[in-house]
Amino acid sequence: MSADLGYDNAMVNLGYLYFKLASSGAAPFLHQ
Amino acid sequence: MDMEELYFQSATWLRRALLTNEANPEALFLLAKLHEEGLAVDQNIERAIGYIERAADLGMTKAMTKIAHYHYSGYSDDRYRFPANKGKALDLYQRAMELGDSEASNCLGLIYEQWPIYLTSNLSFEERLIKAKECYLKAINQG
Repeated sequence: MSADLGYDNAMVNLGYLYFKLASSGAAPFLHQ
Repeated sequence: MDMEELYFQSATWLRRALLTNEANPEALFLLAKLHEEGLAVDQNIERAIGYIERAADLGMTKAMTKIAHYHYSGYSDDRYRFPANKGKALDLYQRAMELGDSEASNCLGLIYEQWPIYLTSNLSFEERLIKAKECYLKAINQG
């Protein structure tokens, strides 16, 4: 996978996604 | 899921990633962020620095720059002390700049411009400003 498309590791991608969700303050919207 | 849970999930998956491949700089760097801030994990700068150093050793340029910041400023709290080492910081900024990190280039520019006491070479005022200009231009081009 190209580095431009994200980390070449789904677990890191998922960890980063949770990190971004938490950092963005999007947490409350996950319940909708 | 609240914010704490999201950070917890983040830490869990990053740790799992490291269990499958401990040479994963992205996972190391993100885990370091969690430990720096104490986000769903214990706030532990010693551990964070350890992770950042490992990521830097694996060639991650933003980790080199980050660890250079720690070497530049040093760190201390009740439990842990990381002594400042300007020489190491300069070496790491230089290496990261050569590898394309714009933040490192900008930091080196600032040092050339404003902090001559930390430079190992004896440059005149003009030479320093020329070096600083080169670094700033490099940072701009590196985006």
